[in-house]
Amino acid sequence: MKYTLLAGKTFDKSLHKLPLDVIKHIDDLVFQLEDNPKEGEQLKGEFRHLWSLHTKLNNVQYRIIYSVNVVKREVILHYAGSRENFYKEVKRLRLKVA
Amino acid sequence: MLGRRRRNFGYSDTEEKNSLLIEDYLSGCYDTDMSVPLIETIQAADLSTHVDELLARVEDKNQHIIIRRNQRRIARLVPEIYVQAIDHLIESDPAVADTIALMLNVEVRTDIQASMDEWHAGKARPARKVFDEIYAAGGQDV
Repeated sequence: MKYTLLAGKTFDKSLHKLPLDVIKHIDDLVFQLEDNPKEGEQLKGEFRHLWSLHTKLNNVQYRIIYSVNVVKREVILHYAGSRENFYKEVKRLRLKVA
Repeated sequence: MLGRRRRNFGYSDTEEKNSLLIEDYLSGCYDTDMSVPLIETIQAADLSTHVDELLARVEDKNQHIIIRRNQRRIARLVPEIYVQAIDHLIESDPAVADTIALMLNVEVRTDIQASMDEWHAGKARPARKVFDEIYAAGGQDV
């Protein structure tokens, strides 16, 4: 049985900051989560309820953050953005990034 | 070295490797007789008076110094090797890297919390509808 893909306003808002070709790329990608919601990387510690899906288009990497409700069989999309924006504070602190 | 062994309670290879790395780091933070504590606390008002002594402890004994103001932790002096250990974790494990990035990114964290609240309130919408509205409005110019 497939999962239902839901999105909040913040996901909507984050998509609006991206170019249309990236939005279409993310559209294709996220609907794969209906069949395999644990496709991404599960975050750690207090954020273990969140998952991060990695993708790349035109040499730019992107992160899509979502959560999975197994009981309701729902995937909730929270945020989509460039890796550069997602990692901006890590870079500011000059911590290394993979 | 403390000679402690960490039992593997079903951790993945990466998690096990990372935890051993941290343990190696932590084991260097004690004297062999355990007389030097890992962490000490100082009030922010006393920092300038003791700064040389504290930096020496951080450098020589790998101690962490927690700085408090009004009972609240505001900063921590840590040895450079501690930051290098975090660098290693970020490089070796994408999930750890994303977790640290999210911890530090208050703006995205706040957005995600708002999105979770929205979902709990039953206000999340079908994702298909969100994408279709963007296409109907012409993408970025919405």
